[in-house]
Amino acid sequence: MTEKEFEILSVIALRKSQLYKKARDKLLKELPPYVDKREVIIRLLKPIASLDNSLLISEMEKATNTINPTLPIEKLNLDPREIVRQVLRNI
Amino acid sequence: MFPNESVGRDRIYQSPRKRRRRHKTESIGKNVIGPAPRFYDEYDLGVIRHTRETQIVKSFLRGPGKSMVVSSLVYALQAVPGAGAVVIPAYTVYNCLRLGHTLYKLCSGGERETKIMATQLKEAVAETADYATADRADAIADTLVSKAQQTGIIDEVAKRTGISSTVYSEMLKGSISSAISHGFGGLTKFAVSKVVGA
Repeated sequence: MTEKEFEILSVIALRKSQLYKKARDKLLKELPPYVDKREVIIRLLKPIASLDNSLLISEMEKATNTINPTLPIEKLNLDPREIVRQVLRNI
Repeated sequence: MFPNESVGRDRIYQSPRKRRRRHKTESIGKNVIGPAPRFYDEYDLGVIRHTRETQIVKSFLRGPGKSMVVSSLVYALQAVPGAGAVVIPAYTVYNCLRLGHTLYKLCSGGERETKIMATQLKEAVAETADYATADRADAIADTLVSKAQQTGIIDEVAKRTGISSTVYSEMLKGSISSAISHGFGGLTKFAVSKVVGA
């Protein structure tokens, strides 16, 4: 519970927000008209928010033990398999 | 045929008293299963509609929409060829780090309320991850983020990134809750690299 940990958490929250925003925009474009878009947005929010924090840290960052807060989500080269699995489990 | 069921002659030769009693029972029955008052009707319809929509979305996302969810997540994680990813501005990062500082201050501040919260946080981190702890972690994260929201720092971060403050605070709650449930331990080894530029 140090200041540094909370700083890392706020950066991870920013990454999760970016992931949510991009995924939501893409998903809403593809949804058929009979599905309630508002309900889909709400259903997607919680699983992404409760993702394991370590999934939002890239392999390079793990190797160097340094978080680069300026990197956007698409530049991190994150492994989508575990992220997708966790989101689908909680959706 | 049931013993209490009256058919044929019994129904025709009923005494007036019995007939009255029968009529009363029927009317009570009618009130019970009859049309509900208007406000009840509207309330029930609302519930049914909500449940139905929820069910449709749930079954859609777990069935035919599953591939859409997967493709949207994969799309969000991968850089689109041709469209260069925009680096997060230093000012936004600076706000993020300020937010971290605010959260830390809230946890270790001198106020009585925050001291209690810091103790709760320590206890929750010490516990093992189970459902009860997850609920507790959610409650602590909720309180922390609500307090941070009052300082206006979350709105500042959200404004710079084009993400709504509601979404960002929800993600922050989730991150804090996940850190409490799974232990902060994994994050201690990391350092945040210094931000250079405006």
